[in-house]
Amino acid sequence: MDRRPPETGPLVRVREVRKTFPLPGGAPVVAVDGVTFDIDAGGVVALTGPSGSGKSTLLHMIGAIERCDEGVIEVAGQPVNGLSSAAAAAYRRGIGLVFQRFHLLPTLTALDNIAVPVMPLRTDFDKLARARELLDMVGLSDKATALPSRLSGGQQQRVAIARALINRPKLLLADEPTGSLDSHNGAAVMDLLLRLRTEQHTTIIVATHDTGIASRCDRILHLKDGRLTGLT
Amino acid sequence: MWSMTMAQWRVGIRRSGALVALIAAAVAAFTLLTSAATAERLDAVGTVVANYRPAYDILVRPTGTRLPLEQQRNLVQSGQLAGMNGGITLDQWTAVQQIDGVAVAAPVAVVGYSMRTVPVEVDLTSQLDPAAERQVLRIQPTWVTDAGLSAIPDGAAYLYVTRNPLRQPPPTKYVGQLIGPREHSDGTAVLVCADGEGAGISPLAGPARSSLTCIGGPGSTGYDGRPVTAAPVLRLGWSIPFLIAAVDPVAEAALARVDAAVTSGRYFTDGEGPRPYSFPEPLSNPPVLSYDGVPILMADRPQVDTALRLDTQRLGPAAVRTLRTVADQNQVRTELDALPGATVDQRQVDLQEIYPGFVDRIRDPATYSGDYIYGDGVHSSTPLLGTYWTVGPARLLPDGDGLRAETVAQDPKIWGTGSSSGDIAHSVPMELADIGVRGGIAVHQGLDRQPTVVGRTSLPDVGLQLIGTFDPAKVDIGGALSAVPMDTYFNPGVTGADDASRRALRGATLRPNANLAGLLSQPPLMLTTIASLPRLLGEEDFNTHPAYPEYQLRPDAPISVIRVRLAGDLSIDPVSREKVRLTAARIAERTGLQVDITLGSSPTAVPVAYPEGRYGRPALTVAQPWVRKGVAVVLVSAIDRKSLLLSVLVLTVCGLAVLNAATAAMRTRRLELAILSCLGWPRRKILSLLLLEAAGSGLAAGMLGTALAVGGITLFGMPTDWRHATLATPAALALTLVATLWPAWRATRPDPAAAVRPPVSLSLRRSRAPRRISGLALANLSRTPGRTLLGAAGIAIGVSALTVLLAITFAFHGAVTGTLLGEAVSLQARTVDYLSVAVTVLLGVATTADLVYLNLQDRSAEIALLSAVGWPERLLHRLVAIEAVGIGVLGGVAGAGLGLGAAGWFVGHVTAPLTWCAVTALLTGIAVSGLSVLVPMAVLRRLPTAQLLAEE
Repeated sequence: MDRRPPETGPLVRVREVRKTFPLPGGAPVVAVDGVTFDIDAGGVVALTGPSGSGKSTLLHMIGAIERCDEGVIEVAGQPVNGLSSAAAAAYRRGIGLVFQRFHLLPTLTALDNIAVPVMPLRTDFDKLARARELLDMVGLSDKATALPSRLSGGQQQRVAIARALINRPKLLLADEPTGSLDSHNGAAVMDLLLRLRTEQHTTIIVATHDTGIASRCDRILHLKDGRLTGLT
Repeated sequence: MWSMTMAQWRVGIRRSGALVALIAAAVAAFTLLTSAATAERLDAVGTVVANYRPAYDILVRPTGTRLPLEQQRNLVQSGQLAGMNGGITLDQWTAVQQIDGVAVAAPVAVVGYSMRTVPVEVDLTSQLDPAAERQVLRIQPTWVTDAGLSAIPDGAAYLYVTRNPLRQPPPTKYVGQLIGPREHSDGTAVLVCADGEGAGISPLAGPARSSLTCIGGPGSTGYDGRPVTAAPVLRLGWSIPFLIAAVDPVAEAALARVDAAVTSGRYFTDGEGPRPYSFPEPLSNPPVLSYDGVPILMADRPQVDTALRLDTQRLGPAAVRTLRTVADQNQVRTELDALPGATVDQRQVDLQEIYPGFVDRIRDPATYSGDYIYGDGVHSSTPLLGTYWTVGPARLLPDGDGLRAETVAQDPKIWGTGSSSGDIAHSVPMELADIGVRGGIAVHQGLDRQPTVVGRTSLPDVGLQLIGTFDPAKVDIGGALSAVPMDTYFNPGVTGADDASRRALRGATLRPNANLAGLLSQPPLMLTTIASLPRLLGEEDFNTHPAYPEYQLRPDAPISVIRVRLAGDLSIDPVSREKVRLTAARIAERTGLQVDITLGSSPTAVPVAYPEGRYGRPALTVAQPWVRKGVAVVLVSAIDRKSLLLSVLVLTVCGLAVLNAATAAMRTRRLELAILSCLGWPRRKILSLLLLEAAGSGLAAGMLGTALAVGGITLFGMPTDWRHATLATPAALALTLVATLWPAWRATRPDPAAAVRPPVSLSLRRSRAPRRISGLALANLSRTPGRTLLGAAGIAIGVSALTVLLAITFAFHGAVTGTLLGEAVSLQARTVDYLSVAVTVLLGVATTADLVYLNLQDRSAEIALLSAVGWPERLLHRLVAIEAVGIGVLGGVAGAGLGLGAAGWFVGHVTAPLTWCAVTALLTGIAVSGLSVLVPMAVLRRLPTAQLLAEE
């Protein structure tokens, strides 16, 4: 199935999305409160805001990791909210996810970590060849057999980005991708993400509280207390 | 420190509660199981000791009578007394009696079978057609035996009834002339019921078994011209063999208390032998018989399975025509046999009904002198012993795990000579026409010591003199679980050994019948004394025919077996056992006879294939009740070893469960302990803190465990002192402290930085990374080898326990195969066995489930990542299941190996069935480890993926 979004119109539609988390013995915490925005295909958008502003929650809802309580989220015209467990898993295989803590499996080599999303699945492409290609793309072709413990933070994040691209996603969600890196490695990772947009026309949403990183994006959506307070 | 301990319990209340619950359950289970196992051991050993001493301690038989199967399997056969005709001399018996320690040496000397016959009267008045002038009835006797499986048709008895007078002419028979009554009617006289020619034929042949009786109306006369009035009552003969055996009155009373089993008359006196008697017999020549009467004590009930079925048919006019037109009686009966008839009556007579007739005719022969029934060559109602038969042992050949009875061709002449003249009584039973499995049948005919005088009937000189009757059920043959061959009084019969045979027998028991050559032989129904043997076995009194050298009468060695009971109380202790062994060795040494120690033995079933009979009995495999020697010692030894093994197993499993729980508790507190270490807490302080917490948990668990154990003891009504349950508290405390010590010591290691590193160790030397789910799962297991091994150990203990317990069951069936005592004891043992298996397996599951759960917790971020990148839930479940099954396989293989070794020690050697036990336990362990992922899988569904991924 071709999961690529249509070339025209917004790739991501977010309408009046609201998400709360219950607190034991207290009032629920509103993480995202009536957020609405669109993101066109091929754009690089930064979600900024202080800690607890709802960036990650919004990103997780777009990635079908969390469900919104209210509102609509559509990606390539497909409603994301309300998917079954199996459908959500299938949806997530069509997008890319990058995390602050990399989340590489410590028992797998860099090459195998890249192939993890498709490891248990049948694909119409050679998994390892594709993984090698991505490893080469992120400049780590000499680290194919290295375990994560032998890689630097920047290298681990690049492996994580390569892993997110194994299914040729049109949408990449990156949650604080530079948060665990020094400024040099953080800039390198951001370079890589922008190159992806240029070379592969990947739409990228980056959650970050680093204004330097955000400034390199096409648009910035600023969140505070779960509300969208600024659009640039 | 107290405040920290309390705070720890407060904060980690769920985990602490789970730990306390687990320890409490483990120690309660241990307390209950050890209580039950102790009580069970006492019960089981008590059962064995109570049934340790059978009716006699040593069995002495003639040399060469032991079957190979007896030798191979430590068995003693039973049901063979009838086929053992002597072999032990009176001197050897005396030698046995004189051996130190022998309290009773009771001999049995088998003499042989005497055939006795009594009449069975069949009143046919109501079956007659009152309107018919002449009519013929056919009475078809059928002997029903072998638990109803065999129906043996006998020759038909015909009854001709006419309203016309039958007049018997004077007996002026000459060769070629047929004589008999003539029926007078309408001025004519027609010969009916002519006497047959009486050619000598086999007593089992058809013409010798059929009869014709004629009854006339008013005006009928006999030979002497006097009027005869006869009722339509047919008298058929019923013959059964009576096995005669000689015993020593004093020894038999001491061994089996036969004197107390006498139900009429009296018991033998000491040294009682034959005495001269005379008997008035008006029809004999001379009219007063003189003979030596051997004293006889007769069973007051039959032990032969036979019933007589009588079908009465009314024949049509053609039968009357045949009877009036054909003079030759043989031909008349042959033609009547071919005619159809209408059934007018069916009835059955059981042997029990007529058995008193056998006793009465020997007790008071004068009263029954008018029976006119001849058996064994002399008038049946005389006390004379005209003929008796001896038979050889059943011919049994090895066949698989059991034996096969081989058919032996029988010479019908051995049963004597019958007459075709149409007698209504037969001297031998029809069951003899069935197949036989015994050879060497010999007939011994009584002789007259006085020279034959012309004109004087030659009659045997030996007779049977009934002095009393006894009840075989009142004879002391020992307890059911330790019964030894006491063929002298009892034949328990046989049941089906396989499903087909049990179905064929419809669950009934196959018992001896009147076929002397059959597989099963009756016990002696007539007992006499050893002092009478010279008159019963002497060549001057009996002539053996035909001359089978191996079964000649053996007056020089008349005794078949000697049963020996030793003096004093004998228990299962080694001293008593040695005493019996020494006595047995002395008997063998001084007499050269074959000796078997029956002390501590128990009945066991030996399968014997019995060929198909001629009259409906299908081929059967029957379970013959033999005896296995030395069962008691084997059982007590097995019970002791099993008891020890169970306690060790349960304790180990409980300890392991606590160790796992304690280790997990320590692991969850690594960060906290590292912080304490960083803050400068000395190691011993941290250790004290942990042990204090553990002691608190152990105490709480002990109190809870005590409550659970007391509840269990009360609920299950266990015969155990409830105070035994209070052991749970110190046991829980000790177990918790011991199990906590090592993980606590490790947790307090002096490198605080190491303690706060991620808990998952990494394998940095992997050369080949896993690319399949199974590979990934196994890689995960190898990341935490200690934890994996702990989980595997839990499964291993469960599997090894299961292997051993399965082996115990096999041991009871293998070491004491199917013995009644073994079955009784193993039945008592099963409850605790099953409970132990259940507890060990459940604790194994709990340990594995806890381990998989902890693994998931530690790797929750990885699981969340896999979920986030699109792995479907089923693949995540598969990953977890493979990890659990991997632990199961590892633990299962180790446990099966351990269990097999322990089982080998228990049984004495590793056998194929034990290996199968281990394989079964291994598969069970793997399956159970798969089940253990159910709870962790439920946790997996609730994993907060987003939170875990966002966690910094």
